[in-house]
Amino acid sequence: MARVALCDDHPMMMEGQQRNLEGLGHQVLKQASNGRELVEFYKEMPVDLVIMDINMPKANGIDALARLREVSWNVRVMIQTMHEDVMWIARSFATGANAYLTKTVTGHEFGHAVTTVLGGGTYVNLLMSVEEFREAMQEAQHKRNYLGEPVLSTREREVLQLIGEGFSHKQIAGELNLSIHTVRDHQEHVKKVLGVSTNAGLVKAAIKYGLTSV
Amino acid sequence: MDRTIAPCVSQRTEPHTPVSVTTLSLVDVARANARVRELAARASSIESFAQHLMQYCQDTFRAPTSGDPEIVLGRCFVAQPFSEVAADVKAWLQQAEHRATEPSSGLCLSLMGSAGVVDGWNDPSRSSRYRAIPIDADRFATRFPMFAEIFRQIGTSIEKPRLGAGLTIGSVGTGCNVFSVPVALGSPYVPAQNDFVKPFGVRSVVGFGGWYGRGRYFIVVLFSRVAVPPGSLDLLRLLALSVRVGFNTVSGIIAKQATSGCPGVSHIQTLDELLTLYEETVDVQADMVVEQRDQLRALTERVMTAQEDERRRVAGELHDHVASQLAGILFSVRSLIDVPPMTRDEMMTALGRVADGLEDVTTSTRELSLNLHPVMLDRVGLSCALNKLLDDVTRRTGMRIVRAIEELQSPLLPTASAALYRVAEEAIHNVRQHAGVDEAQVYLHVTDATAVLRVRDEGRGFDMRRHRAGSAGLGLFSMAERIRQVGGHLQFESAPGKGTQLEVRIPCATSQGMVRHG
Repeated sequence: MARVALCDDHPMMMEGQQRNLEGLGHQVLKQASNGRELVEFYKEMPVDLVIMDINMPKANGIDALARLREVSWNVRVMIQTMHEDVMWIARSFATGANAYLTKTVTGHEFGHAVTTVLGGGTYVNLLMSVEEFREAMQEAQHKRNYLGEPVLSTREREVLQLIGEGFSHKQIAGELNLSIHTVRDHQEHVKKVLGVSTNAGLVKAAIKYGLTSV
Repeated sequence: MDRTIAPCVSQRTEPHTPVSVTTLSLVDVARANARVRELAARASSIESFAQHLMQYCQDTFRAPTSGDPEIVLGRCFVAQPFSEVAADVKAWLQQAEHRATEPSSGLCLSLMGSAGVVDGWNDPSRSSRYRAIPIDADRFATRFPMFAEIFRQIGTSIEKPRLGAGLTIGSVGTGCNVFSVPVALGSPYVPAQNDFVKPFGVRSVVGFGGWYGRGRYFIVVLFSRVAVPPGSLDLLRLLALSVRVGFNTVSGIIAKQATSGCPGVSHIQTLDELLTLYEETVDVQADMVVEQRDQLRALTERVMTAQEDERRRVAGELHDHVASQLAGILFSVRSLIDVPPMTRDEMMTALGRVADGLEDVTTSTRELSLNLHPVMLDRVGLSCALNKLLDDVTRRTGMRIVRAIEELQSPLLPTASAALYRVAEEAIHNVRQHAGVDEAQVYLHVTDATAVLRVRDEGRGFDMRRHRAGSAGLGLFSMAERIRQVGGHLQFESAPGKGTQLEVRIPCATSQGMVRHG
């Protein structure tokens, strides 16, 4: 029996996952609705497996995964998302995922993936050529901290996502446990790196790089 | 007569902007006209004016990329009484023609200006054959069929050369003509085929002539290396008139110098002022057209970008919310099949949540669809849809909307209804975003078969001049454009602190036969 934490902004999805997992004899300890909530939970209560979406408010799956890997390389991480783009697959693995599933899989395949990952294996439910994957992987690793072209740190991406979602400096400071001053510094640096001068430009960039969904 | 060229004329006030005969524009001609009259004002004699005129044509008309001259040779003749021909020209004539007797017409065509691609062509006195041509009945028509035809047309008693088609002559006002030989090669109107047309690649001949002074006639003939399109020929008529005014000016100035108070000078001055005004106006208008075109282009681009952004937003919403939600529900339902709950109650609770989830998706899909196109509009009409929209706004935002919405008797076209609905929606949105008040007034009524929509607020307003080009200007522009496309008219009134009023007028369907749809 494995101890599992789920992370998705759609409760129905997690309900399905939990039912499947319990059917397999595993135990779901947490349903988190965004990446930060999950990371905070993991720090308190390390689990064996994390199943996580990519697009989530406040903290997306990729950045949350990066934070999770700062804490632990033991936890098995499975991404389950709507994205079918090889770029997202590569980005997930480059950030430290062990499996990648789309949300359209059957319960049977979901179970197979969970068992594989817990057994130390890797799983992807999408078909792609080795060549295609290798290329995307190289790009993702090369741009480990990139969103498209510009280099941003995980922290800067976290700030950018929250700006994109309309959070104020004060709210961001509270959310990330930073001083307002630091938030402003991050924002200024992100502006410089992305070559934008306005906050509207930052919001646009956050959407463009997939940090914020509209 | 003074044959020297006044030095002040050769000092050019501005560098030449090359212009191609093939793409002549009204602006080019207006600028050329200004230059022509400047030359006339500074000329000390008909000769100096004619020479500078030809030099100007030579310098100005150039191929767009290479910059090569398009005019192989340009010549300016003046028909004058034989008695007025300069003594040295008479002497030359006697030598060349072996006679210097007065021709039958009493007129002689004297070469006053000449400029071309061969150095020897740039001085009239160096012309071996055309320095002066007596206009007489027999030899003139065969030697100069083109000129003979022009003189015949303007009523000088010269026998018609009868050479058939290939030369077109048109009159500009009274006493001014433009002419052209579209194809010079092989044309009987252009005699020097072997030693001029062929070796220098003369494609066509264009020119113009006109009466000036008392009984004088000038002819400008340009031998062009390129074909001159009809549009350029039309525009050359303006240049012809301007050159004619120039000749009149020069002869008037000379006459004035000789005998003070020559009649007709004030008339010429007036004409001159009129032309100056017209040239300046064309110049300003041309700049405005360019500016407007650039502005329109920039705005169109921004509208297109906005449209693409909107599509991206809808696509994102479909993917991230609708599809994602449905995928979650699907996954959950499948898990219910694969791993059925132990008890019926548990099953019912799970199914209840599935139903809730589906309801959520239904709502968000409907909102998204309504956003794309208000279906209400087709089913219940504009007035009803508008009422519903305002209700929704009030419910969602708490905004107070005072309204008077009439039922439209004569229906609007669907495109017009949609445009009105959208503009009302955006105007209300603007009140909420920018006006700084939570109250607005909306009126819809029909007068004189015109639907009138008015959205007004008492908010902070804005300076309309400053917003024309900015991003707020874009919103106003796209609203106005939307209304314009359905044959309507949109008007804004606003000032800082004075609130904003938007008024849209669209003709009803019954009277829309008269409206042209863009």
